[in-house]
Amino acid sequence: MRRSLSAAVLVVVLAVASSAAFGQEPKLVGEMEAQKIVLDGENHEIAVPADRVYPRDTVEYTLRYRNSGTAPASGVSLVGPIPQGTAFLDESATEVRGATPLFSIDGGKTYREAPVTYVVVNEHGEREIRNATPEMITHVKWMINGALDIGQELTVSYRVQVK
Amino acid sequence: MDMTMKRLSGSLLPVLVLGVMLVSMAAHAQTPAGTTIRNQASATFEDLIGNTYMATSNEVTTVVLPVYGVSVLPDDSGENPPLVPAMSQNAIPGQTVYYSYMMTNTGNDVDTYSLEPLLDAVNTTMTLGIGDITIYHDVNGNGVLDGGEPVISAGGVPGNLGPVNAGATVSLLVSCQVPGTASAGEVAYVGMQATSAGDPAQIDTRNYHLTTVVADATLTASMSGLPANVDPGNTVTYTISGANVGSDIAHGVTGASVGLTGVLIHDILPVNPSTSQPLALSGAPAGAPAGGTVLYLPTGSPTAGSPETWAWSAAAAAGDIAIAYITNGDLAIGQNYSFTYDLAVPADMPAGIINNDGAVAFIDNNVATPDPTIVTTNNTQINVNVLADILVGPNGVPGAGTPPLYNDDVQAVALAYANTTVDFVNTVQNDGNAVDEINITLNPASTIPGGWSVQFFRSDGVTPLADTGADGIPDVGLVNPGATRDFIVRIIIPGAAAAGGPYLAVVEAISANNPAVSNLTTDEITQVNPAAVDIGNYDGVPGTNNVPVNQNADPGVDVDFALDVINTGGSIDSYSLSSAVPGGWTVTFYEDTNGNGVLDVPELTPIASIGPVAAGGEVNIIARVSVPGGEAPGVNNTTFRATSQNNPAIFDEIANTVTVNTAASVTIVPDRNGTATAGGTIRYTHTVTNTGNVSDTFLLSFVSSNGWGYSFFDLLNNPIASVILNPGVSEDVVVQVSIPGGVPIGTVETGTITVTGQATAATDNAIDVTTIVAGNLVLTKSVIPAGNQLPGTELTYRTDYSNVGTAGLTTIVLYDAIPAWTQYRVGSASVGTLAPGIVGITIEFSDDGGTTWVYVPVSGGGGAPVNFDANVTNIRWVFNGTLAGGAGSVDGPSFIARIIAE
Repeated sequence: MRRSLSAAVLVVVLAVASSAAFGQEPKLVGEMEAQKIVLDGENHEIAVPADRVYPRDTVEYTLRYRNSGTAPASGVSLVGPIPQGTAFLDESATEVRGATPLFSIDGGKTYREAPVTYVVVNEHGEREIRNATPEMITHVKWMINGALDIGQELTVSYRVQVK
Repeated sequence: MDMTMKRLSGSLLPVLVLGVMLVSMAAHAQTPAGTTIRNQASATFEDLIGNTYMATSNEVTTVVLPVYGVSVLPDDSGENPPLVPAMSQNAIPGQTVYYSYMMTNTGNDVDTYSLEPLLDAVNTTMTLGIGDITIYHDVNGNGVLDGGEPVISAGGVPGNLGPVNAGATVSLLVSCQVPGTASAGEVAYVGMQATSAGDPAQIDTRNYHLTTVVADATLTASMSGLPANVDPGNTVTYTISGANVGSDIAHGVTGASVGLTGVLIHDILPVNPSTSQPLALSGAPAGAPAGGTVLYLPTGSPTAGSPETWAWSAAAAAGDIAIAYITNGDLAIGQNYSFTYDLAVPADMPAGIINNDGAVAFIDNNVATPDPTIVTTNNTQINVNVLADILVGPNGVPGAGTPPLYNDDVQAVALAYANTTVDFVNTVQNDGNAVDEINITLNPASTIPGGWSVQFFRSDGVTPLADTGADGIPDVGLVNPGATRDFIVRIIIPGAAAAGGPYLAVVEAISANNPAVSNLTTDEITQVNPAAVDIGNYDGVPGTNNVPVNQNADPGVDVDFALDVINTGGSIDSYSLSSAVPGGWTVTFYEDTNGNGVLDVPELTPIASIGPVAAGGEVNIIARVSVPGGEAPGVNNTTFRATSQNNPAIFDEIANTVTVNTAASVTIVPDRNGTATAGGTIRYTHTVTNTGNVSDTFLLSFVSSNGWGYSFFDLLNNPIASVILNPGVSEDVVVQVSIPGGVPIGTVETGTITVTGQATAATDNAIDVTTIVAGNLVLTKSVIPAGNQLPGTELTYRTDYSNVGTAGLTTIVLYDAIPAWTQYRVGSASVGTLAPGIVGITIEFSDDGGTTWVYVPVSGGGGAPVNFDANVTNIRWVFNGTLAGGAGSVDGPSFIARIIAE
């Protein structure tokens, strides 16, 4: 049996930016860095390379995006996932250009500002609103206000803890 | 912490808060050592016209290092001696006692442990040394020392056990023999400790158990479970067994609810963690010694207090939470007992360990001790095998497809366009019983054409699926049993894609737990439409006019065609513009930015292409066609083409026409003048050119001011009346004037020579002026400077004369006119050097075209500048003397005229 489910398909048709023949276009080049946050003898934070970590270590991910294209970029959204084996550390996402970080608890389908809540139906059939725990966060997103001009750079960061 | 604060690498910032999470996470399983944590950021953005772009960052990887830990259970309560020992047993002198411990690797890496016995010598009253204690590895975990199970530590010497995988638990037996000389009431506190080899600081110590010497009944109790590894859906057989190894009879307890008395062997049944329901009994339980009764504890019954007080029933019922066998009466010295029963492992049982222990209750013979005495068995661990099962299907329907394979489910997009991207959301479900990292690949059955791209993303649509399992295949990450995970299959259709379909991306989800287990789903693009364009004639409204248009034009002029270019494809595109026109014609394209169908001044920048044009969008252009001069009349095809830049094989044309008008035209040049004698002839050469675009026969005609005769010849001196000329062709004709005899010298003849197209009536004329002179006087006129001159230039005209005859000439008067657009320079008229025979020349001026000869030039006359006189129209030189035959001037009369500049 061949079952067609076309009605249930979510189709996203993106216009693929075509060809340099059109001339000017923005181009974002992104770099991600992972650093382990440790404390020195005076309880000050030090960032060291996070090539290797232990369970319960804190890792800070820093995203740097630069517009190396030939036109300004608008509607810029940056997304940082919480990788498997780690949990988001509450209140660790930075702000950039007034863009408050948004959080997803559903694999990046939807984003909300903190505190993120969700609804469960308890054993009495009642709807209950609960606050998402940091461990439920799957993605952090920043929606940047205004345009990113040619040569401009954005930097955001967030932290996770290794499980 | 102020999270808006910028943190810099290596910078030192005070830490105010960071620790809440450390506590909450301690309870969770650790990430295994060697795990690579992968992370990749992504960004989406737009350009000025709304194109959406995506950029992913590099992938950063972090490797998790090993941490070590160990846990030995059960623990004692920590005092010396412990108020609550880890375990307690009664034993008679000479009895060997066995205590079951469970040791767990609580680190994240494989480890080996050093095990050694402990003896609380201070509080042990029994005669016992550390060397009397033996630690065994209870390989099958049945709580009984079986043949072949190895000694880890003996004689008080520590021994190693390992390797033990992270998270794994092993069963141990700690054993010693009560000395045969021991007396009732003596006690021994024996424990053990385990030390990690990976990190020797990780030690679990104490774990003291208590052995009390009695002179009474003593029951051993152990539990075995078989098989050690079981698939969901199968059964486990548990056996609780033991013997009265004591020195007196073990009396029965009385189960109040059933009114039966006997030794009560019982088990609170393990539960399925996914349902919290007890595993169901299967088959017929059997107990020994024979004659006892199997009892069941109905669901919901309390299990507090002594087991003989529980609400046992002799009848089995669904959901029973415990099972027991009550012997028929006492257990004699040395008598064995056992109770065997089967439990069904549900099909949905998660992979992992089933822990179970049982107990036996009896009444001893010592009235001083509380009754009943309960002896607990070892903990038995049964491993529920991992069963991988994967389902993948369309969004939210992982179970789509035809059973039993569920591989034939399809979700389709009916139509997609070249140069677009189609995202399919697929959902994968872990239908197995263990956490599984589900790999995603494109199955070879896919029919995605070369040059296309299929990419897998997390459900956020921007993060590529990572290879979290480091097995070379991207995956959706770890998925819990029963859980689903969405991911996105992105198909990028190149701009040059041709029409066709269907195209199938057969997506395969593969279990990492068991790579032989996979499931398919198909994402189908039923039809791809290529880039498309419609070019037509401007219609001023959306859409275009594809009816060819003709325009009439004269040769040498430009014709503008206003055109519409419509992107009839499904994605943004640009178009190259080209044309097909007759040779020598040129076409220049312009963008009609204001869309009014007219080429306006601000739009005069030529273009070779137009775009980008959004899908469905329309732009306006102007094609300016330059028709060459002399182009023949008639209809000419002028075809304009727009070619997709996404797919150069895609174009559209509009086949318009330009009708070149018939344009007849002829010229005859130059005007000529000369002198002739009465009764003679003079010839003038003219050039006739067909400057039109049609061939014609051009008739030659004349009008003589004196009614004289003219005739026409070609250059070969053949008489002609006309010339036949194709467009652009010239031919010289010779006009011969015949001067009647007796015409007075000085007579001026003006001949108007006309060429007239026989068919087209195109016409032009030239003027030949002939002055009648005497005899054979020949005049030669020259001007200095020669050639084209600027206004203001002064021109010196000189006329030389000679007598080409043999007889002398008298009464010579030389006439000349001031040319149009020039003015006479006062005082410039000169007689030159007189030729032989000429004795004098008088210069006279006329201001009325030669009617009177009394004018005297004045500087500024007639409004001319200083030194010039605009009133002078003619000059004559009146000769005195006889010009001998053959004589002539070498420096004849002259004057200066200036080209009017004002």
